[in-house]
Amino acid sequence: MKSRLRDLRTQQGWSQGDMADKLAVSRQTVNAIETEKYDPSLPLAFKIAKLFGCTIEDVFAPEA
Amino acid sequence: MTDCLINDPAAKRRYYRDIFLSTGIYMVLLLISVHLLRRDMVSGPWKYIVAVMPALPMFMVPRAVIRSFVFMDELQRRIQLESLAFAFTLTALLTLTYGFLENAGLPQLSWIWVWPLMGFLWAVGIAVAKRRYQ
Repeated sequence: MKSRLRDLRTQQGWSQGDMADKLAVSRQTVNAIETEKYDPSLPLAFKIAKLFGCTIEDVFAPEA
Repeated sequence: MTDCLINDPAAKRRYYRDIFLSTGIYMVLLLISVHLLRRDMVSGPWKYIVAVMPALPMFMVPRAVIRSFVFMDELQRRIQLESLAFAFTLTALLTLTYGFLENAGLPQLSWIWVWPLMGFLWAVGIAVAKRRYQ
């Protein structure tokens, strides 16, 4: 799954640690989602989208 | 073994407290048990009770490990699942294979070695799974 998480996070000026605290997950999990090594569950994807005030489709897209 | 995947500091402290406490009591009871058994200070059914005594505090360990899972996030739980599956299946395979080799004349090993083997493979599994998601 394609992820725009890194772009969205850096636009906000947040570190991976800040992001991890906001989502109540580990920094490793944020990094794995950003590097597209791990696809988050639906509840976590909703939480991420809500944090940026957008929809899941704005953050994630299926592999082409 | 699960401590590196716990995020919550209070949960981590509780995990360490449970592990250190149970290991400490285990070591004290082990010394007492070995002392009593080697000097033939107990007999009859008490022998079995004294022999098994050191294992009792270790019942706290499964509780601590299972509780630690509650404080992991979804990726950390997946890492644990993959590493436990790796350790569980490989331990089964290795112990079974060695059991067959014992039939061919290799020395009989004590069951006590099963846990160190599984623990070692669990640690290897965590390291490998963590690397995969880095």
